[in-house]
Amino acid sequence: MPEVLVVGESGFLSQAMLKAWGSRAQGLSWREALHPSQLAGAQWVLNGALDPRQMSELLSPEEDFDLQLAQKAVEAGAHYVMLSTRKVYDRAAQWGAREDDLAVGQDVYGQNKAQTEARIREVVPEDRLLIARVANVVGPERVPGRRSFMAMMLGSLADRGEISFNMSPFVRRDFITDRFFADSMKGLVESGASGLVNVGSGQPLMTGELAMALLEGFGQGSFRVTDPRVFDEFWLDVSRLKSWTGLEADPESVRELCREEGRKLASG
Amino acid sequence: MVKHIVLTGGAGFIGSHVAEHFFHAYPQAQLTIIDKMTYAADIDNLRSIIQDPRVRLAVGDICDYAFVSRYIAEADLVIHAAAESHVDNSFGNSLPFTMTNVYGTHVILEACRLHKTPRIIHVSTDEVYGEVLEGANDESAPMNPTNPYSASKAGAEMILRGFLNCYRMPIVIVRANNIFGIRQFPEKIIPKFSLLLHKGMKLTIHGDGSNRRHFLAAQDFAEALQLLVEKGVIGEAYNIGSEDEFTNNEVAAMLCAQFGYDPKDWVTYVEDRPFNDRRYALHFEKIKALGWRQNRSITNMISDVVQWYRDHADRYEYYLRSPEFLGLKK
Ligand SMILES: NC(=O)c1ccc[n+]([C@@H]2O[C@H](COP(=O)([O-])OP(=O)(O)OC[C@H]3O[C@@H](n4cnc5c(N)ncnc54)[C@H](O)[C@@H]3O)[C@@H](O)[C@H]2O)c1
Repeated sequence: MPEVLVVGESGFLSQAMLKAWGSRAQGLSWREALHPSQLAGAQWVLNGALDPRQMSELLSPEEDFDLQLAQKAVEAGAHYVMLSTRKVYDRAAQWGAREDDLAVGQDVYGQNKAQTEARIREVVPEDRLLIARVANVVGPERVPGRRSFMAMMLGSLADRGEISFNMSPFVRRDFITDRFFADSMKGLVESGASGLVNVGSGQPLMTGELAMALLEGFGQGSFRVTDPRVFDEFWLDVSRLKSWTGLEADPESVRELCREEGRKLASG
Repeated sequence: MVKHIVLTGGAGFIGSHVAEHFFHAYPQAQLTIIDKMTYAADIDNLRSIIQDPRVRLAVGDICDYAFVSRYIAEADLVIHAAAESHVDNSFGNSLPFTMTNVYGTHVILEACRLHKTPRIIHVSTDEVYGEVLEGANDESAPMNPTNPYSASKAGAEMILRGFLNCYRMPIVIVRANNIFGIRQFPEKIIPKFSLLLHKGMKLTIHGDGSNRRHFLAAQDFAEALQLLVEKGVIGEAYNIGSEDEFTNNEVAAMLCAQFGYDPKDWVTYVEDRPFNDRRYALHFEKIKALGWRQNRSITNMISDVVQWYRDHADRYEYYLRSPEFLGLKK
């Protein structure tokens, strides 16, 4: 049994983590993970599965997959890692949110995650629980049905040769690459961390910069703004991540990833 | 009435000032900015206009005919300002200069020819005349470029000449001296020195600092372009110059003064680059005769410009940390 189990193996973040750990980790689907024997022997259980209902409705404890999995991990004597979101922070705290800021959830998704965090804390011993509040992760996201910022840009570039924004390109958000995300998770697990930690870059980038880098890599395409609203700007205070793992994101790696995704798209 | 402007290089320094100017000067017109988004470009340069539905940014290479042609098909005015623009880079690898500045210009012209674009403005430089130790050149002076950058700009003009003579295309050429202003990439003297001083770092001057340059405000340049769109004679070249001439030492001193520093403590000198033209100078009576005036001066504007670089230093942080910028690596 590998020491790390990554649940929700087909997910974008799970894929990144599995790649980072290599043979030391094993992926499981969320269904498999609920089977009693599956977690036996694992030292760490990381949940990368996302129930799509979390985006639109408040889930009860019975519907909370994270909670069920955390209970199983406790029974198996493993550490549990929950992937939470920066959206647990109140809207007013989004600019430089710290782990001790109030976690009430800024939308349904954030509220679900905040509730799950609280529920899990009740069942997992403190020293065996790590909750990572993750910033916006970008990576190879040209996956059917994915509706992230990057996936939408890649989709419209592939289909129409253009990127159009329904927000200002000067909206700043905390982006990290899938690789930095996975390295951070690995670093946290290897350091035996427990508690709450923001996983981000701490350095907001303009959304338009990502679009420009993608277009640059793709080689050509037009860019237009249909609605210049400014909304949902955020960055995370990552001093804890840095002190626990020594890792610090380089904003240039996000731009380079976008260029690379653009190049990949262009070459089919 | 101009309905659709295509501006190449609009996300760069001068291009962004031209974009802003034409956006306001022609409030009915659509503006398509074609830019490859090289290191010198930044979407932030277009902050004041990019969110308007009249503006579209087409990211791509002017060397790509199919790409360029698609946009030029819609244009009734093409302003061609895209270029590899930094002389020092051209000493290292000059091939991208010839590609973009010569071949890229050729591509733009072919597309304009195909689509019968009614007005084309080509942005050239005073450097095509080469070094001028005394006096000044008018538009009839021969081209005598002295570095790969200016050679590529002169090459572009030769292609233009050919098209002018052969197809009688509606082209007007502008040759400007050094332009200054906000949003210039910090490889050029004013932003670079401002940012270095802001960071408390010393300035490095190639040679003895006696090289002279004239400085014209980017806004004055943009106003000149509008005048040429409206009154410039087809087939003619127009110099656009400034009366403000300074040595590199004087520029360094002017910038040090903005920080309250004594240049003696802040300027160091290193060996000169392969060929560093001592002086360029233009006569610009021809455009003055059309009614153009230099409305701004570097001495009046320098404190605002420096303040802008200080306020936006974080934007250049990535470059400020690079060894090339710090002069630690060639
Ligand atoms: N800066 C000056 O003092 C000065 C003086 C006289 C003339 N000029 C001329 O003015 C023009 C603009 O100069 P600048 O100082 O703004 O330069 P800049 O480097 O700031 O901007 C050049 C722009 O062209 C774009 N570009 C480069 N290669 C391209 C390509 N292959 N396809 C599409 N876009 C491309 C870049 O991305 C950038 O946005 C140039 O033609 C230059 O030769 C500049």
